[in-house]
Amino acid sequence: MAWRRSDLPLHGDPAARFLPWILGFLVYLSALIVGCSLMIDQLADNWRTSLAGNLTVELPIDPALGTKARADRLDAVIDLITATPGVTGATVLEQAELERLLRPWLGDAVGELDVALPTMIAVTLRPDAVIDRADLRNRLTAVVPDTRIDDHGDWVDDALHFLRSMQALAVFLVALVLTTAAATVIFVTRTGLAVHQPVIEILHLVGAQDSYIARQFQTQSLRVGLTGGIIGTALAILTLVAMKPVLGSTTLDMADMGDGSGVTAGHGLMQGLTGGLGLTPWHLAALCILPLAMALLAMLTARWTVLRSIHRSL
Amino acid sequence: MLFEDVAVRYGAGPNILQNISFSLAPGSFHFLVGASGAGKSSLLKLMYLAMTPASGLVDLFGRNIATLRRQDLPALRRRIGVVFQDFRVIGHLSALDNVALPLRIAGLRESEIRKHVTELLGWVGLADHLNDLPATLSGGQQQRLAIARAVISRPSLLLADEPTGNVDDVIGVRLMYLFEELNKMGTTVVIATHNDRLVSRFTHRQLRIENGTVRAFDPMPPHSSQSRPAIAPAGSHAND
Ligand SMILES: Nc1ncnc2c1ncn2[C@@H]1O[C@H](COP(=O)(O)OP(=O)(O)OP(=O)(O)O)[C@@H](O)[C@H]1O
Ligand SMILES: [Mg+2]
Repeated sequence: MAWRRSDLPLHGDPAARFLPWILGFLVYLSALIVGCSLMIDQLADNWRTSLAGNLTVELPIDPALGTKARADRLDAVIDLITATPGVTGATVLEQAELERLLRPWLGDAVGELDVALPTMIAVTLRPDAVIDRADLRNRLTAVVPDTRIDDHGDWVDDALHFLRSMQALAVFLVALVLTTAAATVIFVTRTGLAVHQPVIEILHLVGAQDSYIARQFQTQSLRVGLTGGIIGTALAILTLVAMKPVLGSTTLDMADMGDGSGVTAGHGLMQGLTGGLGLTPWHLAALCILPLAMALLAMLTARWTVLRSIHRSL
Repeated sequence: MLFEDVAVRYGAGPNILQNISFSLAPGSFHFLVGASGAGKSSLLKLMYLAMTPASGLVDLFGRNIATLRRQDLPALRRRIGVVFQDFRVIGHLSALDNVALPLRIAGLRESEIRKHVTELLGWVGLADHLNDLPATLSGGQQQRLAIARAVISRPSLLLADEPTGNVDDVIGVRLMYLFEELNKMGTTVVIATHNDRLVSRFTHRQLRIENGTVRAFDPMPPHSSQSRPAIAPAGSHAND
């Protein structure tokens, strides 16, 4: 019944007429922020899992060694690595491959480079493998002193820390947006109370409780919050879907640059870092909570505002 | 209802009324008469809890109105029907919704509400205007709408401020019969008016506002009135 008719024509108020649009816009902003935050989460997961399955072993240059000795040394190292439990493969990166990876940093000059490059071995692991890094290094340095193992741990930590800061910022922004929404509802409700003061007085005089009058406002706010929320969220989802290709390429760059040496297991890793980034059905469901949250926020704010302000009237 | 040495004023202004002492028996019927600007509407405001006395005691349904808490007001006001001098019907609600308002606020079922409201609107001659907005009604029709809203919930106390000011005498008398009908069912009625013809046509007791105070008055004492005071002295109905 409350939906069918209301004793106050609140929907016609000039201030209230903009409320669905304002709330819609604010929900749109929140949904974008939440959507990006969810994708960041996904990105962090991707990074963690793809990098966990990789190691890079770097053999130092030893100009004293001849070609034959270098090949023997490499074979010994490869044998040692592949014999380690959890390792599924070890690939030596060819000079050409290394040059390709270095090209973004050094430009075409990389081809004319006359320096010897360290030998890089990309090691792939079983996803669930736990490698004792120190032990592996000890065994490797026994064969080749100064061998370095890079499991990207430091870089992943830094990157994850960065992503977490982004998420903290997102939470702050959403809080800011919701505060703005609440403030807008307070303003519109106060205006409504002033505009409809004569009718509210009549309602009081025929025996209406404060809560009855609050209900008029909160029902309207609930409706407006829901309308604005649904429109805002729908538009935000469209935007996020449209943004997906852009996001994908951006993260690819980040992964590439962030990987210090730029020398890793190659394409497979890149794919792993950014592959499948986008909103999952689960994320969409999470986003659909937003209109409900906004409707609830608008309703409670309106109710609180009416009950607080109305005390001063008769 | 009991008034004891009550004074009325607006804000820091002068007393409009003072030294008011009277009591109304439950189920009584009074005209409230006095010149324009004498303070009839102001006295009614005290009675419908829109104002508190500047001094003195106003006791309504056994409660001192000066000490009522905010949350006590709705329940008391639901026992009071008011016809405002300026009608105060709600402009965006149809005639039906206006009259239904007190019942909806009281939480009655919609089917019951519709039945009662339609019947009453027929009684006051607005059967053809159920879904009309007040703005499309004449002054007299709006007044009848205001009356219908005031009596729909069969209040214990009916306060009407010039309820017949905008209607011809035929309708005026018909409305008076409506009030008397309600009075017979036990409602205490107070009608403010300066329509002398109307007052003289009925033999109800009067509250007269003169010289800034209120006097109780019995216009034409019936044969038995010598042994039965028309209006009880203040204090004898403390539990009204
Ligand atoms: N809200 C108000 N604020 C200040 N003074 C008021 C207010 N309402 C009424 N008054 C004053 O109180 C006095 C009595 O007014 P009231 O409306 O009670 O008279 P009344 O007897 O109802 O007159 P009428 O027959 O014209 O309706 C008037 O002098 C008026 O100026
Ligand atoms: Mg008056």
